[in-house]
Amino acid sequence: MSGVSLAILCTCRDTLKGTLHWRTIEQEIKARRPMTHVGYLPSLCLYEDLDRVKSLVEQERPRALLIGACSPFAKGRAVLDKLMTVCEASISVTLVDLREGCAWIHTGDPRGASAKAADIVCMGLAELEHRQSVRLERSAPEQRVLVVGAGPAGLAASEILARLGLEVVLAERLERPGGLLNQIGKLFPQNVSSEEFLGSLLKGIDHPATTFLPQTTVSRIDGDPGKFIAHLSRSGDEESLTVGAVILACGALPVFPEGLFRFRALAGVISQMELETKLKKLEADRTSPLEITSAVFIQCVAARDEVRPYCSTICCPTALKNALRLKTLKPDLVVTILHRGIMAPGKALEELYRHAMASGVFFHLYDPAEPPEVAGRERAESVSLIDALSGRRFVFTADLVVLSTPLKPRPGVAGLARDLGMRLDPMGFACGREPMQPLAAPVPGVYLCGAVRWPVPVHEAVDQGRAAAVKAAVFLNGGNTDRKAPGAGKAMVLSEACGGCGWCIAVCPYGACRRAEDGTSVISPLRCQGCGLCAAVCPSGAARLPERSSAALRAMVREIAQRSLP
Amino acid sequence: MDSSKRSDSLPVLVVGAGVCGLTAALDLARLGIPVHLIEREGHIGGQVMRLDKLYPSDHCAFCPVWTDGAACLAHPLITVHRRTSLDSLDPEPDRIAAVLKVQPPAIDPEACIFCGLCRAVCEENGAPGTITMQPVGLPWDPAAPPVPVIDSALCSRCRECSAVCPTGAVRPDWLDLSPTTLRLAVADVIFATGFVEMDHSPLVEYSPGSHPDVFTAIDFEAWTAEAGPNAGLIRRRSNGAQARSVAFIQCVGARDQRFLPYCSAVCCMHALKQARWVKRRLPEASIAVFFTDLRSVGKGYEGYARAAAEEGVLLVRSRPGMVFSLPEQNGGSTVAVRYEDMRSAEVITAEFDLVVLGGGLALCPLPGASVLDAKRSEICGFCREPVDVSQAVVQGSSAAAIIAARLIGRKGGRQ
Repeated sequence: MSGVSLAILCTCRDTLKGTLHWRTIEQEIKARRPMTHVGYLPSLCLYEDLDRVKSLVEQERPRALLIGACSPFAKGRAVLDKLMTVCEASISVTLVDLREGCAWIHTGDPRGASAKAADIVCMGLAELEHRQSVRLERSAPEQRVLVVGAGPAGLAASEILARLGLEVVLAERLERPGGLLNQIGKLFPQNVSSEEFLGSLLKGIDHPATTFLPQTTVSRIDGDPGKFIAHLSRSGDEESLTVGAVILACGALPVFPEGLFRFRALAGVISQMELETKLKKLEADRTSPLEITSAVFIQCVAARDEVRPYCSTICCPTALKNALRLKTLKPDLVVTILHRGIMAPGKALEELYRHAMASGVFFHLYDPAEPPEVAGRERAESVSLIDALSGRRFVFTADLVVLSTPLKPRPGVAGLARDLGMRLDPMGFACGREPMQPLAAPVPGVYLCGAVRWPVPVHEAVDQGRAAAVKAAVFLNGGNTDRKAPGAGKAMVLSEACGGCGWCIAVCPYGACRRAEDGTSVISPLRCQGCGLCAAVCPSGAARLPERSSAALRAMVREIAQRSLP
Repeated sequence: MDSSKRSDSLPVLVVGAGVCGLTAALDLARLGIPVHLIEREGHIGGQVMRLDKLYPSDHCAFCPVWTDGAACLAHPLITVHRRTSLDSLDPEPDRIAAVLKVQPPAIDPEACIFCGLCRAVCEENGAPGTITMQPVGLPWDPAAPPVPVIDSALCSRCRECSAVCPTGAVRPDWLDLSPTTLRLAVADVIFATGFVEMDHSPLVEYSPGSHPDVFTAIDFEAWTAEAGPNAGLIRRRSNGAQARSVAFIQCVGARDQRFLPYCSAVCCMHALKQARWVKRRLPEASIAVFFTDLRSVGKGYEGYARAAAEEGVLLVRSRPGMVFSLPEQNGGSTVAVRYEDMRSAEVITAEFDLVVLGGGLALCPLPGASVLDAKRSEICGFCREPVDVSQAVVQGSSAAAIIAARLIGRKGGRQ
């Protein structure tokens, strides 16, 4: 390709001249690339040079502009961003690092450093010659958000979105909103009534911008960020809806301890969830007495084992809370918690743990290799255990045995996760971009919150719901892509070379590769994350990352071979 | 919602520019709400900038924070005030008057090109350590922006640094300037002041400061960081030799009625992460983590703890009662840890090359928070309740959500 290139080299206020011999570098560049103009400026980062770049560009009318300055992690990135604002879109611009990656690491070797600097510049120019990018048509995103699931996370997300002026569609599988909150009576650590708490969350969705759809499931989501198409089904009726962003808040399911610790075989052996329901009733009607004298809780039932090798986070605090509730109902009740380490991280939960100890709840550590045993004829009568600290054997009388079980992922999540390009962890919970952006899926405009990601206490689910809502609002408001050129780092398919084998469609983790009407593949630049898997598997070379094409890389390598300096 | 333009609301004050504050500031600004972000230190990014790796991904810690920091510095609606602390808050009916104290920098961050000449001339003049890149302990500075800092206590006032500076960033008179006062009118305040490692000196049973091979958890991170002074090697600080054994002691000063009664929540996983990294680099070394309850609570954390045990990290349920120095004997270990084996009730004294004291993270104070009612301020991140990075960023966004909803909702939202 023809046309003049312009290379502007920043001399960093002459601090590099001891290592980089600018005259040698310029001669080498011109020898290898005669169509290049080389200019120098003393301090591009301080922006006083920006006007001079502008006038140089106007004077030379280059096809390509290369800036040789410092690392993008120092000030290079800022320089590049600033330059993008003064250059026309038709000029391709690149930044190469001549300071940290060249002058500074080769101090004391000016000849070698200068030769390398010339190479770096020539390689950058070669890359610019072969650069193509994907054209990205940006259209305004739909200012509407689909929230899947009306548990505490989904309700909190909906409230924030509506108050930020966005239209919200809140789809709930069941008739009533509230999710698992409906099954519990009090919330740890402050013993707030869950009904009151749910009431305050429900007030938040009582907003003209919010549409609550009960008994609605989301069967499929396709389309692109900004314009997703959600297929909803409500008592047999199918409906599709265009939304700009999706928040997945469909929660998790409690595990029932079938076949463990004589659950359902003996009366009085119940799950923690069943105790919640029982306590809710007892607390509402204080006249009916609690007809037991001793209760034993067993923690980590069907959790932290080979089937479910994870800690479900909420079971220890729930057991502490419920032990205290039993103690409140009947102060002389003997309550013992058998555990594998009480998971009460932080301030409030540690206080709850201390409060339980001070209130006379007994704690014993057990080893999963020697689990407790529940005995009784028709009713639970006793629990025996080997205390893991002392090695001594204890037998506790127990009228009530409460089994703490974890939450498990909802099986239906897998389908939606696939539609939305969201990864699941080995347990089946959905993943964000852990750990710094835990609620954002890799595909823009897709967020997750609450127990669909991981079991969390109610107050944390609410925090996550609000956080996911603000992220979705930022995305619909133009997002945080303001510093990135549109189309940068996206893959494309050259349709005339595509054989329609569909391998790219099979491997794309983000659902970005699709089949077009003529049988070839097309890539949605809005979903594409530039991972390059499609280009790697494509047998005909049709799928490619145009910014880092093989042709560009070959041209860059050829530049090194042409070096004339020693 | 047409807030791609600047909102007409008063700015929001975000106190603390760690991961939590940075997230809150960016979320607000990206919704069009102006933000003043203040940070006590000379660099933004907070405690995470001092870490090498993040659990459970084992991803590099500072790069994602750095990106957020750079985005904050570049955002037209965010004004970042470094070396600035909150002096007082005065709530008025429609605004909050905030008084800030600003320590002027010795080196102008706008003019500095990070060439390092000031540090070089200072070291030539025989005063190494006076001019450093922050955070201290890492040679290549990941702070955003990487402006060096001058330790005024060590500085001899020779002013050669200012003479050698090619851009005039090191101004001689700035070395002697006293703090200035800045007054702002803001709509709401977000507190995200984070934590500091507690002072270990009252913990006499662990002989703090008496032995160079006894570290705090965050010091150990810098000492063993891949970008740190030993390039990822696990050395003894006493003699530079490669370590053969490392003990991590948990709940130091935490879950302790004398000091911090609460659990600092992040230290178990932090110790497991460090233990696994030591084990990867030194497969032969014996590594023990002494814990009270191993609180690996969070997404993927249990698997992380299991992996540590499978890789050969010894997990010991015991709270050591004593750490003390042993006499130097031809290259032997010099730190002893005395603990009770819970099963046999025997007291054991084990010798280690390195001992790392984890736990005891003190919540930072919230200056002026008490004069505001809960409707005009949000408290998020570690200063509210011990949390790890992934929870802190969620809380930062959650605080931003509440405040944005209040400010944008007040205008009536979209029509």
